[in-house]
Amino acid sequence: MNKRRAMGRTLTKLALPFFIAALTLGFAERLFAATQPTYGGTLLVEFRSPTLMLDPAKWKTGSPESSDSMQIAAAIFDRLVTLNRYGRLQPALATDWSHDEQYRRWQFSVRPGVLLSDGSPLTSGDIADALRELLPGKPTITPAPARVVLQFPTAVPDLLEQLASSRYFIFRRNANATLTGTGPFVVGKSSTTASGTTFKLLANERCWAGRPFVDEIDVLLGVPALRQLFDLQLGKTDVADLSPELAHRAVRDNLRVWSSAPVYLYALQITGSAPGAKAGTDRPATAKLNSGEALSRALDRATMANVLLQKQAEPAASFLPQWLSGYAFVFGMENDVDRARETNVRSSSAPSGAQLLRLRVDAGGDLAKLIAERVAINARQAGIPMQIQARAAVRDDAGGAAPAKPLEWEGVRLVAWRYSSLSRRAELSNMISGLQLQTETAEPAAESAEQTYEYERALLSEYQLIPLVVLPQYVGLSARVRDWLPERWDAWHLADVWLDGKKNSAAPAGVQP
Amino acid sequence: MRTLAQRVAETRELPDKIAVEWNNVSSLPEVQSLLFREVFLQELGTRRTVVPANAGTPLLRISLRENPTDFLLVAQIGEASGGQVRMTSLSKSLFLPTMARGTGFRLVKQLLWQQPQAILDARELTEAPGSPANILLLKTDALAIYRESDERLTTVQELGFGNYRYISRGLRGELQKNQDGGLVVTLPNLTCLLHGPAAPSDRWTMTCSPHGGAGQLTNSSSSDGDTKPDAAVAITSSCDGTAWKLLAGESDWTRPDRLLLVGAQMKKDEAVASLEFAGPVLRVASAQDAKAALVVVFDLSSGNYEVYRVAIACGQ
Repeated sequence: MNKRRAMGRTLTKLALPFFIAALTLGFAERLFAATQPTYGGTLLVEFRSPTLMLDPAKWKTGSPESSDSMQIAAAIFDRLVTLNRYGRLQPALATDWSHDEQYRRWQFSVRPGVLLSDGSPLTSGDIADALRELLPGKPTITPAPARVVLQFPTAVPDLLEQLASSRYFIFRRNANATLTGTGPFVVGKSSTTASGTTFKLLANERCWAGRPFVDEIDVLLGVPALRQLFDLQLGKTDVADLSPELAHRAVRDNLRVWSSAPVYLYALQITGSAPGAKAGTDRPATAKLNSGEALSRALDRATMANVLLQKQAEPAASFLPQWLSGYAFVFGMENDVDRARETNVRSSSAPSGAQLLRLRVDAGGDLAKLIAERVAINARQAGIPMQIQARAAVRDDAGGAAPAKPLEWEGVRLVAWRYSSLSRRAELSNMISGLQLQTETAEPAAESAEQTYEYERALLSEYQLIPLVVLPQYVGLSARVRDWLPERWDAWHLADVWLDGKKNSAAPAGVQP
Repeated sequence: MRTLAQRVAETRELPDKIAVEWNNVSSLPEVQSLLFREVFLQELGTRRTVVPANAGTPLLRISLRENPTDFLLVAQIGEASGGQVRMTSLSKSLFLPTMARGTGFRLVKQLLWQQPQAILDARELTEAPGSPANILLLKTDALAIYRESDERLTTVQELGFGNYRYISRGLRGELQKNQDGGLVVTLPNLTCLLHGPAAPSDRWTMTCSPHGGAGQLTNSSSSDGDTKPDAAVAITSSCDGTAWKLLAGESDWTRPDRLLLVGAQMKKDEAVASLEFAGPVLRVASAQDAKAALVVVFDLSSGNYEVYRVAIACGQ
């Protein structure tokens, strides 16, 4: 045995040089395969929207006009957590989190060493202040060294999905009401020329997640839709939020077009007394319900999506789209004109329901007008006379259409809704409050899929909001834009985009799904 | 799965004899969907008679769907409009891959490792001639050393970088040999030297020092530099010993990539074989004996970083 051990020691001694020498062996050539990102350059972005509002507290929930602001805010501010396309929650400004069994008390550990863009350290107090401004439900938020504790009066099982989306960015509000963030870009000076207002973002060298690849982003605001198309063709811009009407043309012109999952809902909102009734007259709830049902059955959503909108849209039978709920396909889309006519006659006091129904187009853009005209045709086919009334556009603080006052309007409104939350429950709740739906259906306590489905089904059966179609966001891209990998729910990652100096930005680059 | 089957079976509208239509409309692999189906049918079978679908048989529709956070199993009992709906959800995070068992040679590529966290580089290293190969994976927080046996990797050791915080959007990080023959780990603002075990019973050690000098990796625009792709990686056929080279595509990180097998003296457009990957190929390095290459890939469909051994298959 001892002899064997001695032999082992000898072999080990002999082998020693091999262990060391092995490190020198065999490292042949190596290859950085996919093209590596490069730093530098200015990314040119064009928006149709004339203004940006970078204060998340001022965004009107569901407003399509705040969509551009949200994309730029995501380049300036960070979140506590993010959700990636694979359904995994990722740490951001919070490195880890926990909650109690009732999902009422949540605790987040604050990432150490994060600096705000002014060079000062991000504190748990900053996080608490930002969340106090933004979070509904009046939670008690307590900052502690290196952590933040949130105590809610009721269970919030979907808090992480909420924090990973919508307006829940972390910032410090300065004395002059401006905001400072920790994101990959900082706000530079804006300038106004004949071509519009240019908003400049500069790379944040201190960003905890790494410096962005581009040095600057120039955001040109208020660019007409057609000019965006020409600018893409001429290489005058890199990224443009294309209007759905022009997306087809852009593809036909061999421009590079990216589209998100459907993030815009167009819907009819029935407000005031029953449609078909004289303004100001009280109608029984059942009559209102039947009228809504008649209108819903009269609508040919498939034709709207496939013919009118040339397959740029998908027919919608539910409030939440399939990609967000996972169960939307269960809701049927019954287009039954005969039954619609019967229901309408039953619900109307006038013979054949001949009272004129006014449809107000609250959603902006030519697309909304097109949809409204189709709705009116469908309604008339079912014996519901309908007249379209365009509403004079009034701008609100965020540059969007003025907040709607649905309860002051009796009739039907065509509204557009921008999905922003990754929480099904929160999105439904936002829709109810944002559109001022007068529902008596109680919100489910839990975030289970089946409960949310039952809740949504009950809301749909009230016929206060009748979904029509959902549309994606279209983005035109120049050929030099590389690593354009937004989340499919239209959350851009501008910090990860880099510019290929070898590519002519004007060169056609084909279609990108 | 069992709970959903039980809840479906409890529905009054569900007849005694029923056919089940199973449809996977999600990104979950079909293999996993079939496993779910088996468990579901097994449980339902204890309460109802499941029969093959034919005309007149009541149908239970099960659809596997997804939303941003969950996979959803939706059961539709009866006709869609008036029927009952039951559903259950499974968090996508439950399907995070753990150590994947190598699936053997699939013609020319063998999956060695996958994980959702970034892998910056991969190298093969043998401690002594004839001893099993070590696979070294450079991660953002550690250098992991694995031993390959029976087509799977087992952890030998993980060497952390201490208090160092990895910051780089460009996945910068390399394993290289230095002039003294040692292995150098280069990360943004950090350089480490790996020391092999002096004896089989010893452990690997690593000494690290911060750096910021020119030419080193940093996350700043001035010195990060553009990595110029090397010409190729050499690979030798184990069948006849001929020399070849591997070339990768030139797309960015948004698209699936492929490796091209090209004769040592040939040009790219003369490739004799190609190997597709489900995402961009991030790194390729020759294995110890040059009869294979280690390839780091980001799988766009699953979001995992994967390490493959790629070799030239014989006679296929």
